[in-house]
Amino acid sequence: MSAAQAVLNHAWIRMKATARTPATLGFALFVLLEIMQFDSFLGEMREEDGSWVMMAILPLVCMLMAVLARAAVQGRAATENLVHGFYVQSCPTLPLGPRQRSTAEGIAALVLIVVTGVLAMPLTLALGTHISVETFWLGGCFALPWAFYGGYSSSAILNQNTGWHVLCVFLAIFAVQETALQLGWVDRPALLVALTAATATLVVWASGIKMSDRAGDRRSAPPRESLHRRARPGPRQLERDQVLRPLPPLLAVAGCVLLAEGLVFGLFTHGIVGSQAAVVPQPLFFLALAAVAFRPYGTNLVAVGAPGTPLPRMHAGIRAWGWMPVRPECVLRGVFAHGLCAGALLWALVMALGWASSSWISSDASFLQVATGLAAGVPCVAAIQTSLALGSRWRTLVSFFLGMGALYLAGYGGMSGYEPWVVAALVGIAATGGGLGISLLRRRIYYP
Amino acid sequence: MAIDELIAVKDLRVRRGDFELRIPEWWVDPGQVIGLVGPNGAGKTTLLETLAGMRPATEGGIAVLGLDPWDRPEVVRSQLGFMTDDLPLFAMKIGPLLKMISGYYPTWDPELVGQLLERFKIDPRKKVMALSKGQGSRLRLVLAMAFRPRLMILDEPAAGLDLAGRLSLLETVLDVVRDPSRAVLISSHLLHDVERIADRLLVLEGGGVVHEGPTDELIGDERTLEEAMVAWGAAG
Repeated sequence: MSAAQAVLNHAWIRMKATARTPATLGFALFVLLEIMQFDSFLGEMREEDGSWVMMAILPLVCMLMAVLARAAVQGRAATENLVHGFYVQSCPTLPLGPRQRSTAEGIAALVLIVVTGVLAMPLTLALGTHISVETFWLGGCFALPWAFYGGYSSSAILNQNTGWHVLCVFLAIFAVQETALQLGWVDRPALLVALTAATATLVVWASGIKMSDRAGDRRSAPPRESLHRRARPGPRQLERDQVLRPLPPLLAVAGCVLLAEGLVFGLFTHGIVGSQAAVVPQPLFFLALAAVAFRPYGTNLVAVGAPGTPLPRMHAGIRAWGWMPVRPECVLRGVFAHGLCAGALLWALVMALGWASSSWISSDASFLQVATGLAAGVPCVAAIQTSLALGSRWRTLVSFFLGMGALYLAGYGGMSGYEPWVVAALVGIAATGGGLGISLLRRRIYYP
Repeated sequence: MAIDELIAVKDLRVRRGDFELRIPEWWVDPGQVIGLVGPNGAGKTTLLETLAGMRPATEGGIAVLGLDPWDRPEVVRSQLGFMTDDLPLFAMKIGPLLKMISGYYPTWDPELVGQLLERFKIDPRKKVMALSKGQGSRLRLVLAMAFRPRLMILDEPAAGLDLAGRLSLLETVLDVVRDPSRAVLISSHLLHDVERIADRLLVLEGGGVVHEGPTDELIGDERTLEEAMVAWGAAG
């Protein structure tokens, strides 16, 4: 079998396997919602010279689509543990080189995106949504490198010490796409195609690089006194950790956001950069903040476990506390409270950015209106965290889709006005999300 | 039952789906190593998790360190070291992990931690996720011992350990019970190891107790624990 045949064969196998998984349906639903929402942004904001909104949203949406496509293509085993999925080569015995494999899985993810988009078109047309060729063209170009990035991150020869390379490639793709938007290359099809093809090729090429992990062994051993801290009875220490441990990273990331935005705003007021630049650092920092927000007690909520054992199940979050001198119910309450606070902080950040952009950069208040509606998603963030920590699969999925519903409805309400049914739906989502989380706090926890 | 028992069980029943664990009466005195043996599905892990307060007793009485572990898990676990080979750990570096967990145990012994890290050859600079299965088991052992618990519950502690690791484990368990106020409850399929260190045995089969008593008396001089298990019909 030639190399090309091997690639196509693997892509075909992946596509068939993906079509049989329930995740594909969820992915299709998500893409459908995003296309409808994204298209309304493109249609209305471009007419009003609001292309800066598109700059912030387009790469995020495309990236999310591709990451979700990758998750669907990847199959169940590698997605049990998100961190494993991002740096451990799954099924390393497949008869394919890493570059061939990332190409094949990228093709499979891309086909999934395109097929879902095409299947979604009749429905969006039936609903009267304005679907433009531009949406598919731009979305496809931006999604392409991300589709291959998914294959790269699952097939690259990485390990726990070199996993940060995945983040570097992630940032590189993001930077290239933001730059293309900044410089207006999206209006020059030939240039956009060349850039997209070059980025995708580089991602595939990067998957074959062998990386050294010796750097970790060169660090000096930590002093013994740094291996312990002042102890308190379990419940008291838990209360302290709930407040104090997440604070330093949260404040650091939030400070970076403010600093970067302040810097860009300063450059803008002095006429050094255009108004579009104001949103450039926002998505990256927002992602970083979201990552920090999902770390109650300063620990990793989902990816808990140790290698050499089977991938930990979802309930590993609460089980990791199971042998410690704390009540699991108290741990879970802390996770919920952290989710609420972190969600509220994220929302406050979006509101601040919306207010700043509508006050200083653009006269358009739609972003602020969208941000207001996003408040309904705050209880959903808490519900997602609580369900994840407890390992309740269906609650996690329901709260995730509630959050996505809040995102979609806030986008719709922000653009078209908050009609009574939109407000009612947002309130319903907030109440259901909050109720879902609270329902988990009202009972004793049995370890799975 | 004496007043200073670390574990006291009376007419215990624990249901887990279709399975039911039944223990009429059993206790653990300080200064002992108790071996818990039986085939797969005998109820060993169910018993250990019940003792650690991770699941409730359906009927009967259970007291660990004088308290019901399901009602007072935070108090019981502050003096109970629990280790299983599949216990999830937080995904961080070992040094920060030790530091974080040390804050929950007023009896945490940094000197002992240093010795154990050396004995088990664990590098605190490494990430938990970068450890092999055997190294992960060693780290779990360190965490279970680091605060000098009065009672240690070890569920398959030697799984994934090489010979040196197993010898270190046995040595460490014996070190623990040199203190007459402490006890170790160890469940393992490595019968030879259990036979070497256990003062008493609890043999389970199908959720019920097959035998309980001093190791020497139960096994006798003429046979090994493995042969005794086959003779008792508790070999699986």
